[in-house]
Order: sequence, then structure tokens, then C-alpha cells
Amino acid sequence: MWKKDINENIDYIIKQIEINLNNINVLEKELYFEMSKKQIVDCFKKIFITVKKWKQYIDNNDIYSIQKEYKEIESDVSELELCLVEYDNIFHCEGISYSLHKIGNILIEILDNKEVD
Amino acid sequence: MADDKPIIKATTPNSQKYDTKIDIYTNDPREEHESIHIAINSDDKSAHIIDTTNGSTEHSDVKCFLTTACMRHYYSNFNDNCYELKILRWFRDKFVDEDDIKHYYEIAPIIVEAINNEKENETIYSYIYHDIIEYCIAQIENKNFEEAYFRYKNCILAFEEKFARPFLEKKLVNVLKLSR
Repeated sequence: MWKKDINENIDYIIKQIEINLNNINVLEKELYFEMSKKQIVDCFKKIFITVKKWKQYIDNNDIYSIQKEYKEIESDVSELELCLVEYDNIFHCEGISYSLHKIGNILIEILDNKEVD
Repeated sequence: MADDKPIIKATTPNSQKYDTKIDIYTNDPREEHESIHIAINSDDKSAHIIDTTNGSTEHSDVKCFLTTACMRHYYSNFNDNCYELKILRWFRDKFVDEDDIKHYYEIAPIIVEAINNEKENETIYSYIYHDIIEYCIAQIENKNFEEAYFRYKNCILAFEEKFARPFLEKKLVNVLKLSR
């Protein structure tokens, strides 16, 4: 059950970032709050690659590898959400942030109950 | 939609300026929603609020309400290192519980925004200056640290109940009504 729940949230993030990278030219300014356009693109790409890897971890029941990478990705998403709040109807960073938060909650639940096998 | 509960979470953004961010969504943000983000800088005790609940995106910068009260008291002569703030910071670092400090800096920006929206905000800041700051300073000078802490903590709890909670509830309820 937890695999399905995590995968649904991962799929939302991956799909949304794919759309975002295709829509990136909507950003015409150089700076968005604290991030440059280039930093935003690089950050989306990093999150995309990392979260896509998590699907493989899940297939291998390797929750701990996701746990190790989670905080860094959470910080990146949080910053993107802050910088792109005015463009949320295009980039949906609040939805991405919430999906990641749900993954975090599932991880906590699994690790608390130690049902990783 | 009307049954949806607001979602509140806290994260640490990968930011040069802000170390904590509180996100408040009217409902699941993967659907149509409104939101408030409070980015907090624990070093200089300031916060940046981004509010989308009025149909547009509003940015505002706030400091803690004790500092704001001092600013209102001194106007153009305000100095961030004034005697009152120096004493209060010393007291905070020496006596106030870490969890209480963390809670204060999370709730203070919301209290400041709520007070600023009150018609009588000058009176409220005057009350904060005279009845809380001056009172606590006098207690600290007389080494009545427990009494100073008691007044400090009680005022935060009272302000949270009186200003922060109704302010957030009103904003979120308005949005839920609009989205029905």
C-alpha cells in the first residue's frame, strides 16, 4: 500500500516537473525573488533526476536511500515554491511541495513501524 | 470544498536569507487553492509574508512585534540596538526556553500582520511598549526574572489567541466561502 501511495506522489512530481521544464520560457526575467532563471532550471532538473531514482529505490524496498536524500530535495522544493509563488498556476510548485510532504509523512510512518520488508 | 481543512507545514528552504518557511494552504494545493507563505530569518528576526488569499499575490516584510512596538515608540530615532531591545535580547538568550523562542519567531510575523490590520494598531503598539516591554525591562533590572518571563510568555499566548488565530481563520474562511 505504501509503495502505491509514494509512487502516486512521485509520479505527480515527475510529471509536473516535465511540464515545467517545457514551460520554462514563460520566465522572462533574470531573477525570481532569490533565484535566477538558470538556478531554477538546474534545481528542477536535480529534483527530477533524484525523485525519478526514488522509484527504483522503492522497487528494491530501499526506503533508507530515499530518507537520506529527502531533506535536501525538500529544501530545494521549498525554495522553488518561495521563488515561484507568483507563477504557481503555471509551475504548481505548491502541489509539488505538498506531494513531497506526503512522501515524507509516509516515510516517517514506515520507519516508525519498521515495515520495510 | 467547505469541509476541507487548511494544511500547514514547515520546511527549511535552500535560501541564503531564510531558514524556516511555514506554508499554509486552504486545501490540497494540487487542486485549486489559496496560500500564505511565511519565510523567517531567525538571525535578524524578520519575516517575509507572501499572501495569495486576496486573489492577488501580496508581499510584506515584518519584524517581531516587540521590535515594531519600539519602532513605533521612537519613530525616526529608532535604533535596532536601543536599550530595551538589548536588554530583551540578553534576557531571551539567557533565560527563555529554546522551544518558546522558536515558537515566538514563528508566530510573531502573523501577530504583526494581524495587529497592523487593526484600526487601533497605534494603541496596541503603545500598550505593548508600555505594558509589556517597559514592564519586563523594569522586572529584569530588578532581577525579577521569573516575573519578566511570566509576562513575556503570557503576552505571546494572549496575542496569539487574540490576533493570530482569528486573523488566519478569517482569511482562510473567506477563501473557502469564495471557492464554494
